Amino acid sequence: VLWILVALILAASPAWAGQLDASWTAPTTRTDGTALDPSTLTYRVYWFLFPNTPCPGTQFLVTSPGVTAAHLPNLTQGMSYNVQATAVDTSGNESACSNVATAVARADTGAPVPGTNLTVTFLATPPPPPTGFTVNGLTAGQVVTGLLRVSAVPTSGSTTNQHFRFDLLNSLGVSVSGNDEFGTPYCFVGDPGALPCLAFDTSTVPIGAYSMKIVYTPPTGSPTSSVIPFTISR
Amino acid sequence: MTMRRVLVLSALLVLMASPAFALQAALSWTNPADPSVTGINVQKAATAAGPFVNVNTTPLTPATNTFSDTTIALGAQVCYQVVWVNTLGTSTPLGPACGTPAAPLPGSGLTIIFKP
Repeated sequence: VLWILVALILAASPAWAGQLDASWTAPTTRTDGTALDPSTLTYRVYWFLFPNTPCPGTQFLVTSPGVTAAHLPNLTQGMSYNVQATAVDTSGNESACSNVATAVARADTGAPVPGTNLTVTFLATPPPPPTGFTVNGLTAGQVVTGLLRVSAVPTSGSTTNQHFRFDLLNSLGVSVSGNDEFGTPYCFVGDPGALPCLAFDTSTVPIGAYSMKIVYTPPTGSPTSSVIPFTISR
Repeated sequence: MTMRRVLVLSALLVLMASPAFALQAALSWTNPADPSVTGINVQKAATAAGPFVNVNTTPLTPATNTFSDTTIALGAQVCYQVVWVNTLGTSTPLGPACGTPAAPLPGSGLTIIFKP
């Protein structure tokens, strides 16, 4: 036998009339003083018309584990009811009946009452900075004749406070274009520059092996670079 | 003699670009002590007069007391209300609570020093 004292509090809620709400404080010890885990206890809530004693009886509902409140539906408005509760441990041992609480079921308004304290806070979070870029118009090993159009695009995120540098390097790694460094547009235009993003005429430089070095400086963090080897032909 | 020209911009800086801020409205509320509640709906409208429509696609669980809405726009007023549902009907709304999302204010007091 599980000896647990359940002190019952009964409220006739004006919000759910024809119904009653019962609540109680979860026990933490057995009557022999040993500890109980309240979260594992379920409760049987018995009810019957006043002045009958509902517990023990056959008319009861069972709460979920750890729940110390119950809503008794479908009562008769204006009638007095007696309510008692028992605790049941995980082994199925049921405590003795609690005290009897009495209340009058009130008229049922049906829908729940609303909650309280609605607050709304607006948050504006800057997007994360881009972490890389993609290159358009030039691939490694490509043989280029005539006009060369190379551009770069940050992978994602903000497009402010960042820039690209494009260097056309010869086979010795020496820049033959000068640095093109722009906040925008992100393209190679040669030197002198032909903004915005006009093509570079490769006939202005000797044929041979070249590489395009692209250095991307993101809004925050360290620059990243890519070197694309290619060949200029006629 | 070293000459310096100091320009202090005391006015707030104006954002030159429109950053793609990630916006959200963070809602919170206190639930009624009603075990008959089976779900909660968060509703939104452009004005306090409505009409309000549900933001959540399925009712929130009865214990839920926060909600985040990311379908809002800078400078556009938005109003929220919350309703509780049981098998017998829907509560009167809690709210509305209205506001207008705004971008964070930039800093101030930028100092630029020109060196000869």
